[in-house]
Amino acid sequence: MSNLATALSWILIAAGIGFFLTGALGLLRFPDIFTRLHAVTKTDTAGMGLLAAGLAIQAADLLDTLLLLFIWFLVMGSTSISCQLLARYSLERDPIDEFSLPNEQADSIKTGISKTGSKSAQQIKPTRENATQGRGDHG
Amino acid sequence: MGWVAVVLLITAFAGVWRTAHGPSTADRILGVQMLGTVGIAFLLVLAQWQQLDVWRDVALVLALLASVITVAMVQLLRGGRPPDDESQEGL
Repeated sequence: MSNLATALSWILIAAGIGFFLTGALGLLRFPDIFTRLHAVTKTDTAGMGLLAAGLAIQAADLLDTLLLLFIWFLVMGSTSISCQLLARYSLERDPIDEFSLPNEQADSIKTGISKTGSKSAQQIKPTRENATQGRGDHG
Repeated sequence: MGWVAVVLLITAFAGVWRTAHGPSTADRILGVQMLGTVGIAFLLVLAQWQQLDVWRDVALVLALLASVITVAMVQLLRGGRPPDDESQEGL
C-alpha cells in the first residue's frame, strides 16, 4: 500500500473519530431531546461513514470492503428511521413544546394557555420524578 | 489503531451516562442507540487492528440487531399503534 493511501485512510479515520466525539459531547450537553437527537443521529451517520471509508482503504480484499459498505448503509438507515420515530414519539407525549417553537408562537402559547407555565417549569429542570409523572399524563 | 479503540470506548461512556440519567424514556433509547453505533465502530476497528475477520461479522450482526431495537421500543411505548395514526391529540 502506498504512503498516500495510508495517510488518506488515517485522515478519514481521524475525521470519523472527531464526529463520534462531537456526537457524544452533544448527547451529554444539549438541553432537550430534540437537540440531542439532532446531534447524535447526524454525527453518528457521518462518523460511521468516514470510519468505514478509512478502514475500507486498509481492508485486505473486496469482500471486506463490501461488508463495511453494507454495515454503513444499515447504520445510516436505522439511525435516520429511529431519529424520526423518537422525535415523533416525544412530540406526541409533550404536544406543546415552547422551546422548539419560534419566539412569537411560544409567547402566544404561553399567554394563551396557563397550563404551559407549569409545564415549562418542569422542563427547565427535569428530574426523574417529573419524567415518570409525565408518562402517565398522555398514556 | 489502539488509540482509535480507546477514544471510541470513551465515547461509549456518553451513551451509558445518558441511558442511566436521561430524564425521559426517549433519551434512554437514544443512549442505547448511541451505544450500538459506537459498538459497531469499535468492532470494525478491532477487526482491522487484530486482523481477525470474525469481528466484522459480529459487527454486522450487531448492526442488524441495533436497527431493530429502537423501532421495537418505540412501538412498545406507543402501545402498538401504527406511526401514522392521528387519533391522539397534538399530531
